[in-house]
Amino acid sequence: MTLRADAPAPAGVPARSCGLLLLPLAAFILVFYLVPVALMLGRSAGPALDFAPYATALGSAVAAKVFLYTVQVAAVTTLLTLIIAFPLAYVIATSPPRVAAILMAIVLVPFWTSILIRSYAWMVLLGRSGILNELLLWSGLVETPVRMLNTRFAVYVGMVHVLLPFMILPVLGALRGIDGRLVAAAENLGAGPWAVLRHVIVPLALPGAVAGSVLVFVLSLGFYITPALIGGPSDMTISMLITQEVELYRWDVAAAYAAVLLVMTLAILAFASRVVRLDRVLGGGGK
Amino acid sequence: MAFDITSGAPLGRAVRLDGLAKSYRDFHAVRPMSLEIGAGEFLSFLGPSGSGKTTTLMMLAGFERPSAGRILLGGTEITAMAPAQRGIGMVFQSYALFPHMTVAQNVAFPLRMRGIDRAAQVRRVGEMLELVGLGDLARRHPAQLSGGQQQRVALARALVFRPPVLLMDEPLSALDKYLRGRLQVEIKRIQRELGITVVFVTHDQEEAMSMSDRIVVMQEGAVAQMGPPEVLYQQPRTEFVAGFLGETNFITRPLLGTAAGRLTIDMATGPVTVAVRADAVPGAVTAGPVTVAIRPEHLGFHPDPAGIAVVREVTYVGDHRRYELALDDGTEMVARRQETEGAAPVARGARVTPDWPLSRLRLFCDGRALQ
Repeated sequence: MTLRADAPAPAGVPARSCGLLLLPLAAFILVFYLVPVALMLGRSAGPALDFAPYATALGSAVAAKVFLYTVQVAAVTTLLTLIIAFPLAYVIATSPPRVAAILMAIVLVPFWTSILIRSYAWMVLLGRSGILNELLLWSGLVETPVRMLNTRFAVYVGMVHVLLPFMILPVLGALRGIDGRLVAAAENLGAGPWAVLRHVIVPLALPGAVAGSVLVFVLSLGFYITPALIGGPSDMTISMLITQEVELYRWDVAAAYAAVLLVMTLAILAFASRVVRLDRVLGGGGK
Repeated sequence: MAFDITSGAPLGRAVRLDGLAKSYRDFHAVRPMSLEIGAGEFLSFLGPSGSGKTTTLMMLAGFERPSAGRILLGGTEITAMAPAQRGIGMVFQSYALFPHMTVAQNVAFPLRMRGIDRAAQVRRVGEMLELVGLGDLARRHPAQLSGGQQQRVALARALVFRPPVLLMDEPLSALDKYLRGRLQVEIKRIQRELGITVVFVTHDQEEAMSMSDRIVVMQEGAVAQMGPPEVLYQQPRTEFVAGFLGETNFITRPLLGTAAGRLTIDMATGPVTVAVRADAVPGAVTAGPVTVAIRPEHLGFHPDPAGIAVVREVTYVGDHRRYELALDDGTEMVARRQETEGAAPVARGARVTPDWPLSRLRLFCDGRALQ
């Protein structure tokens, strides 16, 4: 809901007191988010305020590789998530309410579990003597255990698993928003099931898919725990790079990396919000 | 010059409903119904909401599976056919235009689905948009159009693939009165030009009367009466039909006597004898009372200080005056009177005596017509 100065205030509640209710939240964000970000940005300018940490950070060949790798992982994760989430969301959207509720619960329950715990779960599943390898050995498909843990494959599995709800929810919202009469009209006009999907459902669900992709991509850029725990030694993401710099007490360079990541994220969000109304898909904003 | 789409043989094909019925568990949405719709006929299903008219239409379109009966289109059974296979055009109540496509893309959609080549698509979409008077809006999106324009696009999209039958589900209900009148005329014109069979669903009796060749009045899932508008208006078979089509005064009066094919009723102004169907006087009727129906335009009255009714309200409506009368026993009636030159209107509060034109009285007993 947007409060406008010219909008009539609800009876008995002056518009100004509504604004006061936002104060605790504003204070919280200021103290725990905006101030640390400002401190970090200040730190990234270096002690001499000559932005030397940026020169170090951006000049490093390792950092360039890590950034490229992170973007690549984020892109592949986004694509995989989209490919898995769209059919899932479609099934949920077209199921009877009871079945849809059960499917939604299956999607959301892992969402409420800590990422750490889920990453450990994947270690159990994908490990050398993990459940998956035991199964493969038992079935005779492989002679020796397959290396799955600490590979890029494991990173994708873990990240897609964690990020799936962020894709399913916006896509599902878009699918549920499609007027069923449009599907009926398409059928009446001669469209078979595939044509209905291709010409009506997919185009109308596109804003949800774009919103979900932006969310997943942006979240992927900052991933730390999953790649750190189940990724391989060469699977270093930006977040891991920042941690490494912090461990070396190179706070200024770490801050510079963080600032670059922040600018990247904001740029992507700004670009995406030109393509789709993110606030609408994410539930905020006006009508 | 005739447009390509309107030249050539008329599109219309006959439709036959053969014992068609739909029920959900114990609820009979549509009771077994059989009727023939002629090629090129304009047939309306008229009834209050929940009377089964839309369900019938949805069975014709293929969105509802009938519980019993058959649907034949030009002699071919289509009862179990998927909607996409039927080739029947449909205009939805909400128009159901694809919001992500332009007007031209919307209209071209059924042609694309039929694999018609690009050049032919462009030509036929152009013709169709001309026919509905939207030639210059082809590149707009539906959201940029007014309700009336959206309605025309929906019509063009439903006709562009030359279907033999066009179904319309309350297509004008969202429009204002003026636009509704204009589109009614336009839909009739297009229907005549194409020679297409139209099945129209509405709850607006005026709309049904002005557009239809025949009307099917539906009540609680069953056909109450079917026939041309004049017959339904002048000879309603049930009290429901009399009340649903146009305005009607219903007056309950005691019965004085019955004779062969005649009933004598106490009409408050004196006994009145009306001819009825020979088979229409069962025991229930002889006990009386009967319901007398009379249309407001047929109910006469004249000022009379000793009259049995009083004028409660007079409303000037332009081409006529509307009088609300109350009989001394409390019965309320409405009379409509044309303005005549020189004649002063009867004033509010004046006492009057109603005149009952015998040929205009319709008698009902237990809801069924006696004539």
